[in-house]
Amino acid sequence: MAAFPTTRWSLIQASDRQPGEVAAAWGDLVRDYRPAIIGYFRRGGIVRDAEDLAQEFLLRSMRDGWWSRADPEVGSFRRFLLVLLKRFQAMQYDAGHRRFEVTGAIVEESDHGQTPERQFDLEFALCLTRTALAQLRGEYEGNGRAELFDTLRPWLSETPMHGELVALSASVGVAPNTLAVQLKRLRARFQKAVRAALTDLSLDAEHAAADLDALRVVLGSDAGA
Amino acid sequence: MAMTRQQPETQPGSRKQGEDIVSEPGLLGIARAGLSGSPEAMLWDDLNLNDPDDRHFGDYELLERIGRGGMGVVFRAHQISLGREVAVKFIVGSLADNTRAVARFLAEARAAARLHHPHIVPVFEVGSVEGMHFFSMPLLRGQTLAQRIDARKMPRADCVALLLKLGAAVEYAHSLGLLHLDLKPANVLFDEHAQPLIGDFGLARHMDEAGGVDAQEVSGTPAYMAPEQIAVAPHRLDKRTDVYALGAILYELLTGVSPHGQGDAKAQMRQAAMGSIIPPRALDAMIAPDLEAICLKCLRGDPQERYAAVADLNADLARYRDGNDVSARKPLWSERVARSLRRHPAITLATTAALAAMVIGLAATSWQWQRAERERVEAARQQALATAQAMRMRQLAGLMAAAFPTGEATRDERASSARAAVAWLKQNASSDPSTQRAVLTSFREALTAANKADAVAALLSEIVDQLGVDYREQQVERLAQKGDRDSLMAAALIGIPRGADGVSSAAHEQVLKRLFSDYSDDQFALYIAALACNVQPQPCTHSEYETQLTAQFPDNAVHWVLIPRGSAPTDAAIASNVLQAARANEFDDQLAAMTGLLRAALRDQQVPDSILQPMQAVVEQSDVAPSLRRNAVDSVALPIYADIVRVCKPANVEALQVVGLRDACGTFAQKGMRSTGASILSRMVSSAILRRLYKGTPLETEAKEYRREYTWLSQSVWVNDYTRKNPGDSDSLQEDIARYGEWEAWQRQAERAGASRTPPEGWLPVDPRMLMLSEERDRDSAK
Repeated sequence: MAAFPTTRWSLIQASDRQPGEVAAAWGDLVRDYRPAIIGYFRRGGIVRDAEDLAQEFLLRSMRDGWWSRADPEVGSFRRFLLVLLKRFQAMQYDAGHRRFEVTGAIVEESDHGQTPERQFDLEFALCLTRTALAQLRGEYEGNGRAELFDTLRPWLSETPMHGELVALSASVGVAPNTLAVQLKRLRARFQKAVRAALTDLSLDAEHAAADLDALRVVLGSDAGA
Repeated sequence: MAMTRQQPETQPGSRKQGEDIVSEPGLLGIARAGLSGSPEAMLWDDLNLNDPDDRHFGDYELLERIGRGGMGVVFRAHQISLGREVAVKFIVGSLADNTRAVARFLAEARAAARLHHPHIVPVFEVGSVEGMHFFSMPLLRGQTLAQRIDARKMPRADCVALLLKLGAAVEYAHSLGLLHLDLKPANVLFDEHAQPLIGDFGLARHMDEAGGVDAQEVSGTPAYMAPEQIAVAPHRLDKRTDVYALGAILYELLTGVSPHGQGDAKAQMRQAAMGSIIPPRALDAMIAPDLEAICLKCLRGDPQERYAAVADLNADLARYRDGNDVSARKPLWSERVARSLRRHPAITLATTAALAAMVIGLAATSWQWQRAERERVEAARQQALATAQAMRMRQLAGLMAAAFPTGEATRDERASSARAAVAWLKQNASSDPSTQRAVLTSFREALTAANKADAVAALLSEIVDQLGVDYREQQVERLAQKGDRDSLMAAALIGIPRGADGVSSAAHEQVLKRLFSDYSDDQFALYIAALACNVQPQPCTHSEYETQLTAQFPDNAVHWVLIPRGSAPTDAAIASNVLQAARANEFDDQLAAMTGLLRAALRDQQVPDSILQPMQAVVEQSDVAPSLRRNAVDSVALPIYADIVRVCKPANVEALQVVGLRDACGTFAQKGMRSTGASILSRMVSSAILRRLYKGTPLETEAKEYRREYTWLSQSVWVNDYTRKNPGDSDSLQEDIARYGEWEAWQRQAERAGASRTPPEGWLPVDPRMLMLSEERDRDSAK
């Protein structure tokens, strides 16, 4: 069996791939995580439509093959994207005197106390979540259990009270205890799917764990804000 | 599960800060839930094994957590569909989070599941349930080798014997293209017979065309990892990587410590990468220099300097065990003489003489010495050849076992495979009974390890059948010599030749003649003579047996269907016999009486060594004679009904235009279906005749119901394999057949197996075609 890249990210870094193949993979990635790029620009202090900037970022990255700048030491897509965004913003800021209207200074802290990096991470976590939810729903659908997934999805982050559980279980025709177990398993599978999505964007498990920690910090501090 | 009340975020007013950035309500909370906690908690902290819902995973009910490692959580579990206890390992940790790694893992696990070797833990099933990937394997309750090493130091001979077994297993995996890459004492388990089994092919990889794999990541266990596993790119891993691990295991067996020292994982990996290993004899001077050399050759830093294959390592270990020179080290001259004296005294005399002669300078004795040396080398070569041959036999036995059909196969398919296996064994094993036994033992072990107990049963039946030829001939001669009525009748039944080309022996022919001449007024004796002549593969040339039987005892319908095949009867002649049979009052195919007769005749018979030895490979010594007896009794003959069935088909009844034939067929078949003296075969043949002749009538309904009851009993007694798994009850079944007839005996056996005598109302077999007539099945298959 031939060796193959273990993650979507290592495929971008692989040197033995056709350029077109890597460009397509990069394009898919940045499109999937566009909301995080927009989020970064929204808090980036450049007074220009964040969506426009994101679009320009995507086009430039595709045109100039920015993925080839990926240093092997940068072990994940998230980190690399942040590096690129910072460079791009600096470039835009420098050019801003000529081409763009600028507020006068890059705003380090947003109204909500969000830096561009934090906003990026927050959106990045949501993108991951969407990917994981879509993946998981596909799995449930594949087993003919899409209805169960849709019923339980709103309860992924909350715990239903007994009465609600009874009502839910009646609606899907299973015993309350069975449904409680199903919910517990769905949550575990969801957590697993999130980690799988993150691992897919990292060089190895160690880098995935570091990204997971960083995203947790952002989500945790946001919860407390 | 805690039931604390919190508003789900889908409800109005529950949005938290940050949600203005997303359009999906509740997504932020879900993201928090997704990135927090640990998915493994489902199998660990949050699992309530007392909750039937919680412990139920697909086909498995988890009963007890029995282990947790970096890559998996292992449970003792009940496999519901097969009603057995197994070990189920769920994949957790970073491996489980990587979808491509999981795909690779599953591919390798499936490859490992194809391994069938007596020293490899078989993988029963690889799959996923509730998003958790798992594989199942037998529940082994013995210690691991790691625990044994901790508990006590193993005698050196045992270490070598153990390594030889592990080596054979690894070599087998290599021969199928798999590298293990995580061989270590903790992955060697002992079964209830203290046999070692290599498990956990979790890191195993399939070799590419160049015979290796690229090192992709640092994986393995530091104490047993080869330098190339630690350095990763651009290194390649191949068979020699496993050789290194086997060497590390040997090192630990001999010295009690890892070759990489006793530091932490990083220190051990550094030590391995540097390749500086303390020679075993520096830790224990009692270790033989040859064994040390073998061990160190496995542990060379440069793979090129190690054994190229595990087979080479095993060959050296076998040489060491047998006191011969090993390839890993050139022995000192003094060692060579001493060793030679110990192993080959006759040759050594010549060698010693040659040595003395050389000292005084006689050229002639130099030649003599060389000849002696050549003989010694040849003897060693022959021995290595024999060892290699034995290994090959064991491997082939493993492969044969792998090809054996599993429980889903029909009994016919299993029997057919068993026949092929026995033919192979006969061809490949020598005629020496002890060798046959050894090879059969390997084969049985491989089948058992592959959890093919049903195949073992089929194999047993076939071996008994094949070896039983000698046994039966012996019994025919013994019983013929005894010469009393019952002995002659038993000999007549046992001696019926089997197989399409079987020919009745002279002794058997003689027995039939004696029955006919000496017991011409004895209904049972005449019936057996006519039956034995009628059912043998070659045409029966003694029509007088049947003529005499029907002339003297016309009142049993079965007597009229024993038409000698050699007489080439016309359909009209057969129709005439059916008309006669319909007039008879009785229908008794004598199965009960014949079963009782054979059981009595074969009781307490000794089995000769030529049969006893190979049979012991598949059954306990005490069960050899009963197995042969059961087989002989199970094979008792019944009439061949094909001609009657054909003539009684509606189209033939019409075409023959024999007056009363349709009613005669119906009368004959009704007797056959309802008679307590009719065997199940006779009943089912009768049922089929009636179903064809009386479509849409109550008779057809009754005949179908008999078929349904038979199918139910067949499933209860045989399909679930109760009788095969309970050989004692097989005897009970035969005893009941002799006492109550076959139908009643099956009903009793069904009760012993925990089923009812008759099928529940509305019960139908899983495959409804079992209830169809043969032509209906054909039509159904053609759809």
